[in-house]
Amino acid sequence: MNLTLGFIAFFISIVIPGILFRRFFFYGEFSKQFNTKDPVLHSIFFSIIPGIVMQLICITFYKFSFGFESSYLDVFTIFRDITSDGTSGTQDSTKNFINNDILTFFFYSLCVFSFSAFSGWASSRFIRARKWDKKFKLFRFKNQWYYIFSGEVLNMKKFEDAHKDAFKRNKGKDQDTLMTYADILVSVSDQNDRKELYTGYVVDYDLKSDDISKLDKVYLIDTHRYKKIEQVDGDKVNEQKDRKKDFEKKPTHSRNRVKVPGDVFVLNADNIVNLNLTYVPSVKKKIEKKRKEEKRQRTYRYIQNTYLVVIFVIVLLHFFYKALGLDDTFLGDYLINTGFFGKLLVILFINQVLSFTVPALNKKNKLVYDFKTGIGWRILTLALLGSLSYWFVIQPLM
Amino acid sequence: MENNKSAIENILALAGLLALFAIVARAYKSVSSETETHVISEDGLKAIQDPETADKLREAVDQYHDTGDWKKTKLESIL
Repeated sequence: MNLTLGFIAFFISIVIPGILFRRFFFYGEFSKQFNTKDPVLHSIFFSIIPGIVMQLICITFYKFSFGFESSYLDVFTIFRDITSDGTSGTQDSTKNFINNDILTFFFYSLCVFSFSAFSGWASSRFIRARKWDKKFKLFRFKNQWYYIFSGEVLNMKKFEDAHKDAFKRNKGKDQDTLMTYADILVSVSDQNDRKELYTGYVVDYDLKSDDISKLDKVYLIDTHRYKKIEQVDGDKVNEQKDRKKDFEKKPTHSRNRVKVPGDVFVLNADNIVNLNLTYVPSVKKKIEKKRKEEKRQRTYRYIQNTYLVVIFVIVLLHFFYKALGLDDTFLGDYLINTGFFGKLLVILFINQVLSFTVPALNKKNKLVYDFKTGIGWRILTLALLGSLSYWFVIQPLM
Repeated sequence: MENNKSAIENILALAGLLALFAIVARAYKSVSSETETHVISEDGLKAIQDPETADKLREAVDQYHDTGDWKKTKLESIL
């Protein structure tokens, strides 16, 4: 690719914002999706669309906040003049831009870069905070092994459903994983006829740099190996006795389990035959969740009570407006000239509006905001009461 | 008088900036911790580093493998 002035302009305006967006979008365990070893053309290609979107947002914001002295046509002309070979001459707007506005463009570009980085960071965090990556496949990051090893795979819908069927209780949705216990069957010969089983807690993993859907290594701590006692040679009797002592302390299912000395055990994923994972639930997070839920329920009850008080006060105002001197205010015309059914309509309309701010009891007898169930009927009732109130009450007063 | 007013305005502006900075820093910290990506939690790592807790935890995992129910294990007393 030739390094022309046009390419530099394109690179600054589109590619760098796009690359920055992607760099900050793929964070933490998902940063493996943004690989610096990628071919340059590959990186540029995947940065064009986010780069264009970032540039459009910034240019629109700039136009409506600071305002352009020049038109969009001038922007196009400047870009065309810079990218062309100069045979068609240079327009006045381009000369003016180079002479007077190049510094402004420099600061503008810095702002676009900062905005792109922030947008990338914020959008991925937003997706994670809303758990959209677990709810919708569209937002899911490519690093499937993170979801598997972190236990977040349990929160995905298909696994929740599988647990409902298998265990008759919804484990996935409620469980936060403290750590993952893995039983890993490994082939230790080229002919694949000798296998060993290791268990331990997954502490980290590596993905293959050329294909991030494939595991490269698995790091275990507190690792144990299963081994048949009969296979121990005669000269290792003492070692066997030591192990027996060790086994006696262990639970019934770990008779053949031997502790692997060392701090971290690294397994080459190429030799892994299969994996069996057990997600240890986080007790602390469960308690925290319970506390949060209790706090939320208290707030919801407070909102519900406030709503009842407000409605009660509104009804009382309609009866005691004279005593409160409301007939001398802007409400006077409405309170004096509207009949009983008219006032009832207005009260019902206000009640319907307020009901959208009030949580309701669900099947589990918990207060929740449910904007899905019966929302059509609620909006229809609101529209009907609003129309009737306007027709019979507000319009005659105007 | 004018000097005093100007000084108060400066102090208020500084306090406002500090408050804004504190809000942004808190929001950043909160969002970062809520959306962090760890394969193993810090509490889990701590638990395994203690050999006694690690043994009990392994026992609890074995019990879970037998029963299929974490409630039947002593997990809550271990962690």
